[in-house]
Amino acid sequence: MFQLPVIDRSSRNRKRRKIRYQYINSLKRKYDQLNYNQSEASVSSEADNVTNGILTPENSESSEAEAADLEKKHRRKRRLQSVLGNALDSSDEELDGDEDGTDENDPETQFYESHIKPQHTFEVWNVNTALRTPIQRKKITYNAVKKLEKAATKSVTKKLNYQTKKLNMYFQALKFGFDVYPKPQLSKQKTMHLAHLNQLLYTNVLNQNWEIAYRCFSILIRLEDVDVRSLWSIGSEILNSLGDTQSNEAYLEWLAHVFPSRVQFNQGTNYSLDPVFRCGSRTHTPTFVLTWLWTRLFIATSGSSAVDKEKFLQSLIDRLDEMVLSPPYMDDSEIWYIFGLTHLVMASELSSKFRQSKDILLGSRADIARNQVIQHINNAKNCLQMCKANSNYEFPENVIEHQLVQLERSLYTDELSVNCTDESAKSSDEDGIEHSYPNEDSNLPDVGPLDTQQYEIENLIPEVESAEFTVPAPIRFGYESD
Amino acid sequence: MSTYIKGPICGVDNCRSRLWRIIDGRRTCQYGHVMEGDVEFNDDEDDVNAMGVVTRRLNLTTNATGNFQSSLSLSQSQRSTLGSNKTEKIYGKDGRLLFIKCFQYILRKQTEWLIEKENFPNSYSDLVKLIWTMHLKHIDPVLFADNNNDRLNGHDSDEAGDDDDGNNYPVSGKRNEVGRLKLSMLSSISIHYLACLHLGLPIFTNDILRWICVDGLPYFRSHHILPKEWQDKLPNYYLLILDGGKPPCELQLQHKVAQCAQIINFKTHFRSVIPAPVLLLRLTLIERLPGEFYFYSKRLLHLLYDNLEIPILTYEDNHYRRPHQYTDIKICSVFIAAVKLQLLADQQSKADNFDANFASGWLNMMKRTDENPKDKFSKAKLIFKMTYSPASSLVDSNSEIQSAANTTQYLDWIEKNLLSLEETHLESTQTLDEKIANRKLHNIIPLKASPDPSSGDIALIEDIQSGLLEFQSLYDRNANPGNYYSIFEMVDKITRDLSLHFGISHDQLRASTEHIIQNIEETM
Repeated sequence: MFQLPVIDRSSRNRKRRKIRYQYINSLKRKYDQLNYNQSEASVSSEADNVTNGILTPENSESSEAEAADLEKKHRRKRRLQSVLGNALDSSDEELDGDEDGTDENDPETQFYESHIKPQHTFEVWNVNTALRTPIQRKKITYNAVKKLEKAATKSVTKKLNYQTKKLNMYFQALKFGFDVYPKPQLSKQKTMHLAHLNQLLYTNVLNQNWEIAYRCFSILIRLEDVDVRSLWSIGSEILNSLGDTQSNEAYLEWLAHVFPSRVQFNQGTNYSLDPVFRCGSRTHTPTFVLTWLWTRLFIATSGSSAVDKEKFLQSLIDRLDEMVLSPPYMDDSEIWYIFGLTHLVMASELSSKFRQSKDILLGSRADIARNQVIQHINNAKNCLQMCKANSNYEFPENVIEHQLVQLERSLYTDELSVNCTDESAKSSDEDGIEHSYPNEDSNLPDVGPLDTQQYEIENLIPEVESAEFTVPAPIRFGYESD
Repeated sequence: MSTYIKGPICGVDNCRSRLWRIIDGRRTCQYGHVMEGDVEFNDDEDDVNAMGVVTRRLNLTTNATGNFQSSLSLSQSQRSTLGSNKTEKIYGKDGRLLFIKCFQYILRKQTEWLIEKENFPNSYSDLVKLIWTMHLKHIDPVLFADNNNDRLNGHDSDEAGDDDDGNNYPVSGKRNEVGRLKLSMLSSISIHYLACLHLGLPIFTNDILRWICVDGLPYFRSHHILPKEWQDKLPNYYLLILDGGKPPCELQLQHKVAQCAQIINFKTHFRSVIPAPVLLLRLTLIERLPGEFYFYSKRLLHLLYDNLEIPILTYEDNHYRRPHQYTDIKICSVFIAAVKLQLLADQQSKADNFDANFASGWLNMMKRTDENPKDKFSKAKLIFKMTYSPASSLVDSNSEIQSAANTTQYLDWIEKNLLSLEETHLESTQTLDEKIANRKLHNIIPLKASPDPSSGDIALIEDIQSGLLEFQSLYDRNANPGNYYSIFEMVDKITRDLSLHFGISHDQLRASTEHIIQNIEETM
């Protein structure tokens, strides 16, 4: 019923996937042919657009680049062989060609090559209306479908003839759009118990029996075949629900350490489980790392004492500082966003501390404290800049910048010496924040101080304020940068 | 880009740098002076390769201990070096010999387990040894047959003991008989069963099954307990046999016992009768039926076979017999038939106490005990259910298995039995890195025992006695009025339970019972 957290490497599965993708590929090829012919006939440019729409331009480029790469690799290999003194036999060359041929012929790789990788499509919500693509309203006749199917089946049958009866049946069922549900049957003793445990885990999570679910989870991860990565999210949820945030964080940290994303992700390998949630790659941050960072930020902000908070935040900043140096993270906007937010929270913490001890701090000490805050604010700005630069990552930019400005200004309240708090304006502003970014506010109860700190600022409406402060702001920041 | 190469002194503006790097193809010194007259031709990569220089990028990652390791995992890089001196598997006659050695080793472990955990007499090991020696006599010709015979080489004998698909052997199997060792994990427990039978111990196939499935008699994945060298040397198909695989079902065990008995001529050398009354009493207790049913079934058995000690079935070939021909299944069927007939008769005469009302009362009681098993046998039944029925089918039926008490029981059992075995196995197979990483994980997520530690097993008799009072009300005449349907339901429930305990399918036991009833009708 529930998918087992076990990597299935059976050859039966592999064969099934192969035949499936082969069929899909040949269908697509035929369809493209057909479509191409039609669009040739009809001169309308729109039809051309649609046909092009199937292949993403980016991927066609990349496949071209890949082809070039492959060619290069070939040349290099041949040269290397000649250097090493291996006379190039014709048989050798053939052998090489064969090898590459098999690589290329893997239908699954072929299929994925012409599609966007799942990790790219995962949860991309296109809010921008300009990016919307119209639904393909192209119609295809019944006869054409039959023709396509016939052609595709023909290309597959040759292979199927050598396969088992079961595989044939599976393929037939698949072709008619049925999902093959394996008959529950007696299997190895351990597998049986594994399946039961897995089922108990899910049903208990469903019924919110967290204690029992925890027991199932803790036993499951101790079994040999079980891959923790396929269970990490549910485990993290269980730990969270038990109120054990510390061990949840430790658990996520463990995941981030043990399964770093430096390992190249090979699309061609048979992963029976979706790779998106399970691991990272050079271009793709694993989801558990993101979860870990968020959790850590939340824990840091919800710390009890100010000293604790500061310590947590500083360690997180150090950690992120290291992380953004290496590939998958340095390009990931979300990491930069977290980094920026951490700086923001840190700045808020420091500024509140500064304001509390304003009377004690004198002269250069006050300057040092003030400069610390300014530094964090600047860092936050830089991070958000990176976040914006990297891709079209959307975040409540205005709100954050507004808060940064507030923080900055709160440092100089003495000098401003204005005492005017408009409660109504403030509350409306808070509402605005909640609307624009509910996630942050609901999960970050302690971001509250950012807003609730008693700033003595004349006006909190951003538009007005920005207009008013265009002149004095640069003057004030001139001496800090020194 | 950031690596400097040592070169001549720069000398521009008295610059003392000796370190150079290449920026945009121009050689630049440490302090940013560009070397004059240094032109680099990008001569494609041909030159590089022609020199025979191959550059490789080392991807360094940190492992669990924080040391550097190359991104090729440790095992991968070691494989090339260790691969050569890794012990080879041995095949052919030597392989077969080793397999028999391993089998013997496991048999010994099993015997030790039985003596230690189940308090078997010490002389039991001698008997097992004797039976094993006799079994070996059958193997002898197979093992030392002339090697000209092609079939003996290679892995022809791999299916030797694999009895799972005994029915699928070709009809012309006579020729293959020679090459067969006829050993599987099932034969090991068959040997134990036969030994118990000879000693007159009250042990039946259900007990054997309970030991392997619930109590942890070495059976499943038994190759893990072998010495490491043997595990390495033994060919994979033999390891597969020692793995145990699926729990024995559909008469496999009974079939193997019959075959095994024939091989060693059990009937001529040993005591080969099953004491039926003992088994009947056991069945009555397991099913928590009143003692009267014991006498009913005993009388019925006597009427049918004129004897209360029935010899076991033996045969040589690979064909399964009808279920009612196996002696213990026969006795079970007689028991069920007795219950059924008695209930139906009482219901018809409307005089006695065992009628439909009794049946519905019994059903209610069983439901309660199933939901919260206390004694050893009920707990075993739960584990049996978990072992034999696929996970998805349990969700669909949504039975009492999902109750909280049962879940806790089950998890306790897993923790105690399955996990301990797993840990010892993992200890020997994991690499150091994995061990450290996993230990960290296990520290983060420790096992939490159930809040109330189960106070050991209550003996079955005690539980029944305490249950007598508890369930008294259920048997009240008017508590649950039943009808014919509840009688059949009760019979079905008993059939289901017993088929689970004896490792046969529900249909088989039902067919067997029907056959017995038919038999009764014919004879009487």
